[in-house]
Amino acid sequence: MTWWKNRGDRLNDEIQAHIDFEIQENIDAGVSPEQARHAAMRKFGNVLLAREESREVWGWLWAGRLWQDIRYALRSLSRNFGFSAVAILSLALGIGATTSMFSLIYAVLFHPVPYADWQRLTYPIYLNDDQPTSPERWFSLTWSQYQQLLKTKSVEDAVGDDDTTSEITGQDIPEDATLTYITENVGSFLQVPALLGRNIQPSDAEAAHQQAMVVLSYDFWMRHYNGDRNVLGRTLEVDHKPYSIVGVMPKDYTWEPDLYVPMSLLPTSDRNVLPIMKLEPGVSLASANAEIDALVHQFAKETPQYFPNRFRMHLEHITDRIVLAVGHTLILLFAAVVMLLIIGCANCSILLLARGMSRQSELAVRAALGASGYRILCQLIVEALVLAITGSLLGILLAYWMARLIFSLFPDVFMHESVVRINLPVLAFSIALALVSGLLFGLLPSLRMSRPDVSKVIQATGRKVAGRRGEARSLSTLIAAQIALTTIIMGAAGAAIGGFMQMTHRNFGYDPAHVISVPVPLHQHSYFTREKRAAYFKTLQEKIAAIPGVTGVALSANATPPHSGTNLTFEILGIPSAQRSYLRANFISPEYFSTLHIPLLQGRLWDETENTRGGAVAVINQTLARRYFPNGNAIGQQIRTPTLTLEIGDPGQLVGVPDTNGWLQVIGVVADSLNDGLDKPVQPALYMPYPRFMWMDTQFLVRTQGLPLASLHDVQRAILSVNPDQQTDLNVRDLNQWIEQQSEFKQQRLFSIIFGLFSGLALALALVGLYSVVSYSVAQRTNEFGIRMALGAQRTHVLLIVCRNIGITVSSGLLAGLLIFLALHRLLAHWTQNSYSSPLILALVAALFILCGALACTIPALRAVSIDPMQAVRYE
Amino acid sequence: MSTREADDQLGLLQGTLDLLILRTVALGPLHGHAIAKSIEFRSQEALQIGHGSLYPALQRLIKQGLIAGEDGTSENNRKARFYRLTAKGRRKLFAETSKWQRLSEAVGRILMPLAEENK
Repeated sequence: MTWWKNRGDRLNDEIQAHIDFEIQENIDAGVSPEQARHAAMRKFGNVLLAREESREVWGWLWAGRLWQDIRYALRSLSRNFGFSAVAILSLALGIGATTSMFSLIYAVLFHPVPYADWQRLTYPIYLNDDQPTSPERWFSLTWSQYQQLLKTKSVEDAVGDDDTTSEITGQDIPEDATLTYITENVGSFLQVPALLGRNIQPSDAEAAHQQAMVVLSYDFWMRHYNGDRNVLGRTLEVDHKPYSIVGVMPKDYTWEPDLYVPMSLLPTSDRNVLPIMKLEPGVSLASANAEIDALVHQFAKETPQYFPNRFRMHLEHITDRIVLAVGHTLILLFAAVVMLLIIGCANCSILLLARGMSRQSELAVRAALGASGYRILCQLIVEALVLAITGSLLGILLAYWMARLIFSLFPDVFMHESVVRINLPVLAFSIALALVSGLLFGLLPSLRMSRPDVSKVIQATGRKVAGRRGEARSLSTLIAAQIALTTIIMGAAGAAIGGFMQMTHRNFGYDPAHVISVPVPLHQHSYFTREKRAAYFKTLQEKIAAIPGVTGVALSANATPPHSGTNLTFEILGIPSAQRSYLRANFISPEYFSTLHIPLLQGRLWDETENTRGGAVAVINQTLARRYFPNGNAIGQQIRTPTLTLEIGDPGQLVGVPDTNGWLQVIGVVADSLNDGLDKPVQPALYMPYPRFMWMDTQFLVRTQGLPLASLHDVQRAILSVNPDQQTDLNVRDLNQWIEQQSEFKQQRLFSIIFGLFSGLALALALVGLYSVVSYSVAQRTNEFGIRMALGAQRTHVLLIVCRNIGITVSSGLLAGLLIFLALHRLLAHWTQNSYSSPLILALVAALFILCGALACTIPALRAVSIDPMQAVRYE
Repeated sequence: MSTREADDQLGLLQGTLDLLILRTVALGPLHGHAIAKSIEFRSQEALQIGHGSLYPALQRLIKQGLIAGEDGTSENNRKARFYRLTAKGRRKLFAETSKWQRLSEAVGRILMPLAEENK
């Protein structure tokens, strides 16, 4: 800067010297000093111009001009505080919403996990070819298979983990915890620094045999130790074995487990490893898939019990699921906020145009004094950019807050590793956004205003004439576009909210109130025979039923609604068409129906003895009965699920009757209840006595008189009275919460709220735009209205003139918006799962808009007609 | 340039001033005022340059590297900035002068007969 100043000062000195020489020369020629100075100045000409032009040669003049323009813009904006506040707020909302969506998208889709080289992290699942609709499955490998996997060409490295259900012992009530044995290379593999202490490290492989160590997950640390920072070195007792705590992992490092321990603690033969692989750089997913598919099919021959007969291997990228689940909707939401931003920009354009009218004379004077159109354009665009940048700074603050709010309100809609930060890409994005939007809304009004018609403005002697046709047209176009966009967003919000309402208000078919679901996981290697396990469950059920206040207890192995049952193929004796169709197979105790208030429509339920021996009887739901027995003759028919066998899965984990896939006699039909989620139709369902087929865990559905969660402690005590080591899963919820935990529910609720919020913002912005336009056009025509009224026009007539023009604009915008929405909606129906549309929603949107629009028009219009004609004529 | 005197004096064609400055400082380092005076004197007062327009022209020539400025003291002991021709400027002056002469001869040849007739 001093160099710059020096150069400027030197130029000034030089010019001063020049003039002094000239003066001296004139004096020497005998002229009086006064006249000599005047002559010299005259000879030199415009000193300022000379200076300015010289500086222009240096090439930095634009910087000075820019600074000048910025200062001027700031001054003029702060003078028109109301105008600036509305414009900046419109922009801040638009930019804030867009930036927050961008940061969400960035966090969820572009940078979802903190792990090193996460783009190359994949895990294998298999797709069961015998049961194409059954969910894909993770599968585990034996230790030697895992070693073989590591040697494949496409795999650079891998970590393996083996999850088990454990309990924290050595305290009052045993607490359930997920413990994972993890290969010791995990620290260098994922490269996530520990929050406290360290992660598991390779040297632990040896050391673990002297002293077992454990690393805590953030959630477990918060839950169990309340975030105590002095936890390192303490001992945690898990399954009656002491572990020394060596580290706590940060919040964004989390798989499912609570506790991480070295794999070496587990004998090689017991290891069932789920691999997460880092592919070699440059290896495509497809080629890696082909190589690993061959290997896994070879594994399937070695350990057939882990795999179905026919399957395909599929490598899944660690972020695939989340992208599938929320990616589309996020992009839709992003489109919505971009529209919101455009509406905000249009608002600014409208305000600038309207204000430009009152600046006509100022600009005309500038033009008359010799400012070029280019120079005025520059100045106006700088003003627009100053608005945009101020708005974006405010918007960034807003965005940070909004994105955090969304995440904290709905943490588990997104991947739990995703953390929203306002980081460099997000900042760059929003600043670019500010510049683009500044140009967007600044250009149209600036172009219009930078060519003032000097003669006209000056002839009008400062009096405003009715707005020029061009301006009026630009304003109506802007307003109509705003209204169209707002209608689209409101329509989308209506569809989202409508879909959510439809989901929550459909007939569930069961009564979720006052019922809790208590999951009870069995310990490894316990209750190995069918009789022992069934008897144990029965005892637990009886103990819970004896608690005062409990009105019903049912056992549900896999049948907790709204996602209930296991998808299986079935056959009905004598009906070939039923082959290869799927139903939901549920293993329950007969009290299930009374506990959930599901009515029996036909036949009977199985009795206690049939239940205990796992009898070959079954109850079906109405959908299944209607589809295959339309004549109501379901009772007494034979049905079977041929693929239900004990062989799939880890041996000993599953126990059941010898003929799990044998023929069952249908003895009853019950009413439909949700079994395929909140948003899908009820599937055919088959209910069987639970002792026919038992996993390593089950659930008790407990109906209580009072608040169901209040009796949880009693339920836990009852369970402990049978087996003091039996923990219950922490995941106890009542069935309403269970509904709220469904991912479709959470997503749809979140998107309804966000869409609702955005459409509210859009509506508010559009109304501000409408209000400004009406006020502006009314102000423009105050004179005309005065004359009309002085000549005898009624106030209502004048009101009609105002409303007619605006009415045409509003309704054409509304119509365009509705048409575009309908066209888009068809397109998007393929994209979103739960889109919902009805004429009612569109009518509601239109009505709401017309109501608000009328209000926004009426206030300024009424003000126009309430003016005294004499005053109006003299206005300005 | 004031309009009153404009009829007697000649306006400058675009780019001519630069050439005149180069020619003027070719004789030796001069400050701005001396350059202006020299041009007026050597054109026998026919060319009146707006002294103010000299300075942007000087800055332009410096930027192009045709002249260089250095501080010095004037004949009456005042600090002033002196401009001298650079080697590049000298080459430019040579090229431009011959170009100018060819141009003025060509224009002169076209204009001559009409001027004779009107006399």
